[in-house]
Amino acid sequence: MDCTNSPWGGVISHRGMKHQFQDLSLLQEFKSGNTHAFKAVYDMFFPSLCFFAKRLVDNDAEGEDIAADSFIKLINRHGSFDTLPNIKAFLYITTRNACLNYLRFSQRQTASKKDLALLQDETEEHVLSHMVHAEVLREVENEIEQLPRRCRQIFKLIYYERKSADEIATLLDISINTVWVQRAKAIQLIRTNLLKKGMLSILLCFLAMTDNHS
Amino acid sequence: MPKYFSFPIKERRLKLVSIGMPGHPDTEMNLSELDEVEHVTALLLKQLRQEITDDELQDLNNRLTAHPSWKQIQDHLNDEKQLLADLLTFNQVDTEAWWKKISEQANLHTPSRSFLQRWSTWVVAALLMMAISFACWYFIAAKKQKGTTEKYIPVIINVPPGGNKASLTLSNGDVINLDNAANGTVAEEGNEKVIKLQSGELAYQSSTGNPEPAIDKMHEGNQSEIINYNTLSTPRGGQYHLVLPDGSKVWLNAASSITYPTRFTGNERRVTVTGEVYFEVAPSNLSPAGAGETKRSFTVDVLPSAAGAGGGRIEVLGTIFNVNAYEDENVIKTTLLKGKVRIASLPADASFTLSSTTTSAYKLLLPGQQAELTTTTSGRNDSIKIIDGIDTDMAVAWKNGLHSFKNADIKSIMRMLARWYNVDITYEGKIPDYKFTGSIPRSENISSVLSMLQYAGMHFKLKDGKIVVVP
Repeated sequence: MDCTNSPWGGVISHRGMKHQFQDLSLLQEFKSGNTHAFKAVYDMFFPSLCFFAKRLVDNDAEGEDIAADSFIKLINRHGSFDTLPNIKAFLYITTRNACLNYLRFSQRQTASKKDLALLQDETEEHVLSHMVHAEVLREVENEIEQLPRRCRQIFKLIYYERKSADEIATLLDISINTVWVQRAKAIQLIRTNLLKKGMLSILLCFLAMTDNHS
Repeated sequence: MPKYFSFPIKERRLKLVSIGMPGHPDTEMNLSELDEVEHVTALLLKQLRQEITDDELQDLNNRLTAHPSWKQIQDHLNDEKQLLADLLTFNQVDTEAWWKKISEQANLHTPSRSFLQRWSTWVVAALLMMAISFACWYFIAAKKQKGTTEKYIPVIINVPPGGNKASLTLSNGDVINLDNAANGTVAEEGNEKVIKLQSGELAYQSSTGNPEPAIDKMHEGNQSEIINYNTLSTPRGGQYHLVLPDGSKVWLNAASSITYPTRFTGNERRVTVTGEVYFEVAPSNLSPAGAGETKRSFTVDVLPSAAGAGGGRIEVLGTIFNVNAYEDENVIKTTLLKGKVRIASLPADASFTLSSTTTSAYKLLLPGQQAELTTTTSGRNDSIKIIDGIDTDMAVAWKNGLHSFKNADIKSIMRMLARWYNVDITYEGKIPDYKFTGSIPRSENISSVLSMLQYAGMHFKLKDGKIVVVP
């Protein structure tokens, strides 16, 4: 029950959102300045924007600052966007420009002009690739967020927190019963053969199946 | 291409962040770049999910070669450890804290609600909580009770997946087993050579060296020309890829067949299929001269889905589609991915050699639609149901090496497994009516699939070499 107090109900996750309210109505709300719509768009893009900025400036704190600034700029001119891709484009372009400015500024303190030019060309070359990277991860993360709650929990414990099966059992308070045998078996299955071949499709279907009646 | 990639703002670099407003010319240009990003993102995701087609992979590789730094991203994504590490970084941001700061700075305030509204929310929440805790209690209690009486016995059933297996029946009745045949010419039919390209692929080559349509013209008036028919069929647990004499590509799923002439003559290309077949029909206007002349139609006769019932007919003009007409599936499902096809039913006793169906009975199918043709013996109650918004990837997943199902009941899943793993399935007792959604590579052993289903609540046992689904 991780419901929020948003008027659309439920967790506003990126993909889930599509089901909860159409892009169009989100956009209308966004344009008219609805805070919940701002938050929905924020949830949709902020992590990927941060990732993009961090990679670009190679500095976590600075990257997050820049991403947040871009968001404030977005909110300040919320009335002028007509599509979600427009919003995304604005966010990425604004962030990119801010990152390049930051790099220019910080390099100016240390490097010669020649180095600076070189750096900029290299950065330009990498901008789009970081954007692709951020976007792919955003989609992957979407899929993970879409997993049933318990499965998502287990996935994150295994892969993000590197917990062992025992630790998870204790953590989630799953006793040693039939259910647990099945879960442990499942984890084993994910971990050994299935993960290597197309992690996502398999893991997702695997976990999705479990939620049909759990 | 380079124009597409190059950064349009070299000179404008020194401008500050003000660029990028919607409708602003800068954004327009950058949007095309973002389109490129979007496109590559989609391709990389497909690769990650192992859903990428050969064409798409080619497309992706072309784009990546043009940009070495993108290639690096691809490597990162396809390295499982790196992907997880990147996901970790991706999530290492306190979004709630940042949201607080951002909403403060942007002077956002949550719209205040009236006293009554606030209270009504709480009342609803409380009621909801009560309902949920009751449901949980009920559910847990029920489960516990079950757990004590029922023993969970996992079944280890090892059946290897199917592979590239098929046999070819020549016009003289000879049958060639393609599994053990060596690569190269496996047979000759008149002027045509039948060539096994590699494991799982068969093609035709005209020994005169001329492309087939040219011969077509030559023989136009020659009525005595003998047409040889070949039949390629796959057993249960087999699949095969065939390039028809006109260049159309055909993929046969397990327990399927296709009958076709070794050379298409006249204005018609006609084949007959059973089981499940995926088509990529070559464009019809291959003739070198007079492009505007009559197009050569491509017609697929689908043999009865159930014994005694009628079949179906699909008329095509350059398109991609999938036909599923297994005997045990009761309906003939045609899923269109690209182009246009028309579908009609064929009465049970109709000869499949001549066009006996009137045009008015045809129904038009558009991309993303699926036609469900239910046939009857009399042909009188035949119905064609057109379903919109079909997940076409799902319908042709088998061709891309996946078992895929969406809201499928256990019996339809087991029918699919029976065909691919060549196993027999029986049922005992009352099988729960669960619906499953998911996919798994066809290269997996059957035990992986069964384990998944077991984990999802199904139970199996092995009896007399058959897989028994038990409650």
